[in-house]
Amino acid sequence: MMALDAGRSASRSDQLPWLLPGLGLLVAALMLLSLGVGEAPISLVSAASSLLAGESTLETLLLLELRLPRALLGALVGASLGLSGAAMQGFLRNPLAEPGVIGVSSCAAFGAVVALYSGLSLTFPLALPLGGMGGALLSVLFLHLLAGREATTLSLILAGVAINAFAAALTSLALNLAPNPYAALEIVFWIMGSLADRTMEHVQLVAPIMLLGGLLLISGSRGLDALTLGEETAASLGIDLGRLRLKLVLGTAMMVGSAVAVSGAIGFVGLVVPHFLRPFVGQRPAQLLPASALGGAALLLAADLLVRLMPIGPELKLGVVTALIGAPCFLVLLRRLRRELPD
Amino acid sequence: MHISAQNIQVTIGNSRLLDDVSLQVHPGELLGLIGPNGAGKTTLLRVLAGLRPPSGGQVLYDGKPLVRRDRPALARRLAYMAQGSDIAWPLRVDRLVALGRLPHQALFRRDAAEDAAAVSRALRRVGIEELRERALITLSGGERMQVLLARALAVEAEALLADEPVAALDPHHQLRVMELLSQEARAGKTVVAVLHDLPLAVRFCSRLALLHQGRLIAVGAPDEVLSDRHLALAYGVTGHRGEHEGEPFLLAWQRLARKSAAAGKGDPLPPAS
Repeated sequence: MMALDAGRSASRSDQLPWLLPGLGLLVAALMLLSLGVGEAPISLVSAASSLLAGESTLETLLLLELRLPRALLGALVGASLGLSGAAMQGFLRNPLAEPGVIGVSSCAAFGAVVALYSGLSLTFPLALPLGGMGGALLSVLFLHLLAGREATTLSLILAGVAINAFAAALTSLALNLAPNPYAALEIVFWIMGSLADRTMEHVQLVAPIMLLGGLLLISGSRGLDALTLGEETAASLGIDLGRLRLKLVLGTAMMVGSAVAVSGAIGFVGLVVPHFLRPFVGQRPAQLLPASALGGAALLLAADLLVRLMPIGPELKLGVVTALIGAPCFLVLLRRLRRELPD
Repeated sequence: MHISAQNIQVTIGNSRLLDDVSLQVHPGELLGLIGPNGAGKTTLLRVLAGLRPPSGGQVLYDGKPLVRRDRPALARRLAYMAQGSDIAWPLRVDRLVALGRLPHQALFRRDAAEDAAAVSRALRRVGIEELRERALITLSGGERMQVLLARALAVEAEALLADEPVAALDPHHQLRVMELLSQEARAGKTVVAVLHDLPLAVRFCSRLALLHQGRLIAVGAPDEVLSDRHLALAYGVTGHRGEHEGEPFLLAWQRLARKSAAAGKGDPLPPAS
């Protein structure tokens, strides 16, 4: 009887038809809010009307040069983290996987730290994101060398662990050898993650790569669904596991590498968002992908708004806020997980 | 679909999992793959399903070897049910069964009505329609196995290869699943099942293939394959035979002294009974 009741309640909440439109609206609303909120109060209506009239005022300048890139990057970075988190959890068949598990984010962070440390980012501002993306690319090459194309999932994870450890050590080395405390502080602050003072150039740099990565991940939908039944059964359903792995690793590297390159390390979004949304899509890995992209965008936009609205002296770093909110959420989710997963 | 395994070798490092195994499976038959633990049954089933390329020999499907580009087409023609119930996410039962329709779908090409009909047919055949909307976590181990069998049936393939499909089931459901497998065979499908239960194997399979230490030691009618000599050689047991309602049955009766219960590898073979 109890089992029957549990079954009924599970089928009721199997899937929410309004989930994707609802999340889409939420993201749109948060983006508008994000455009309107900041140190200098501006009226969105008057800024928009000046824009339409083709006038260039201080308000339009603020809107286009500061607020718009920040809102766009918030949505893009959040979507990248959410989508690739969902893809990695589906691929590794593990709800505790996060997009950084294959070593991409720590390598991207190290790449950016090199740009900071060498002073390149002072003379050429885009050196920072370019360094990050270079780091992400390196991590994929390392993964390929360590795990290879025909590798098993386990060897992929182990290679990721090794790459993560090595990249973190190199980042610490850079801190260790920093010529002065200010340089070290700059690196630490950058790693904490932020969307402040980004420009449209940042958006133009990462948006195409993120979109391409997103398409790669979405194209793995059927494979992720099939993996629900294990690698062997997925293969019997005609899924080419080697190709799926390649798609997902590349897609994640493109999305997460770009995200880290423009915003620093922002934790927990890729872990918590898919985890939180999974019950609302009937636990289906493929359906979870678009939902997690929107959910990630919403969460990051909200966290970035919070950062700007909090009346605290120095602006809190975004990565700090997401981890502060994310870690307790994660504990709650862990408790739920024990009840919900099959043995 | 005719499945023909020719001189299959599978080696990992120094251990030989399958040694020169040749086996034909025909449409319309239920072939039981039997043998002691570690004999290579699962490995052979995976090779037959095209999931594991053999180190030597080849498998032909209707006379043609499997090439990479035909893999998606084979997925529509051959359904495989793995051992155990390893399911990563607690999907609802009907959605889990619907995964069997994946080979028939592409990113933008699917016949939703046909898929739904196939899922309903599969649930009905296994007799678990009432589980349709249950969440997987609320099911017992035996019920999960039935769901996975329905998943394999939902492929509606010409061939069905199942690894221990009755292992976790109670006697009622064991009989039900064995009846279902022989119905599938009678309907013209090619059915192979790995079985540990000798009475069920003898009663329901049209032919048996007995593996022992990676070698196929007998293929044929159940009573020939499970002769006293083969029982002693492969399992190290004696058989108790009888007849009930005009059908023969066989029970493993007594352990033979010279063979360890764990079907020890490398033991000297016991003398024929």
